[in-house]
Amino acid sequence: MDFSKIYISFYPQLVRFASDFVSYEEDAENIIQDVFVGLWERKDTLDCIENMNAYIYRLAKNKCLDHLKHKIVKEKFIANAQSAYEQELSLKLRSLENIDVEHLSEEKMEKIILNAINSLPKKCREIFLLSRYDGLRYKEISEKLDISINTVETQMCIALKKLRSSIKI
Amino acid sequence: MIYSCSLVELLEIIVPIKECIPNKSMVNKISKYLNGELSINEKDEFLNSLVFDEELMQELVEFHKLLVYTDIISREGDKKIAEEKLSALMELIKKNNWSNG
Repeated sequence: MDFSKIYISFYPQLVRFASDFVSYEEDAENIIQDVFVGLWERKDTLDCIENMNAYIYRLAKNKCLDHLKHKIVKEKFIANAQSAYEQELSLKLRSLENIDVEHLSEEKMEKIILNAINSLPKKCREIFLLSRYDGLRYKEISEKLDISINTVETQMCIALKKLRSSIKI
Repeated sequence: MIYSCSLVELLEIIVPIKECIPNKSMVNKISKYLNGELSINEKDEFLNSLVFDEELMQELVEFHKLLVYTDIISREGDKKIAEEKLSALMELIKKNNWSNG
């Protein structure tokens, strides 16, 4: 069966078929283009196909299904990301509203914080500084200090609790 | 000197103290969130849990504030970065012929 003939016969109706299910004409054209690319790759075996009409519609249907499923996953991901992003923004807004800049910028504050950090147990301080000041990930800290990630997590918790009790904010 | 008190009296002392200290798991989650150590799914779950857990939200805000405070400490390289940025800004001002005032 001649590929060009199949293309001429089916392309417009398949695009219309796809258009009935996808949102944009351009998407429909791309989907059907993909159908024909697949067909082209198997052009040597086209003669074995008994019912070309059903075969090519099945290809188009499957491509449309893939497209819609992909769209749904994508939209869900965007919606989730949007929701998490909004929550994070609200959280940061609330945090920022809670910051007393007068207090934060007090001349003695830097010294208070330095003292608090220096008062942390040696290992705990080292881990805290590697994380917060050197920007290392927990995994990198665990490798650098040859300790487990759990230990890093625990020491970070201890650091936060101790700093919280020694820095009155 | 030996002090003695009843169990009820002891609990009256211990329980309020314990309630003031956020539990380890909560602090760990907060710490991991604030240090960017949660996976995308863990982060989503954590942010969702904030909606229904005001205590967690309050603790998070407090620990976030704490880290903001610890960020005011000067770090090695701060001066160099500031000098480079200032130089670039001056170039921009000069290039655009911005006048002061």
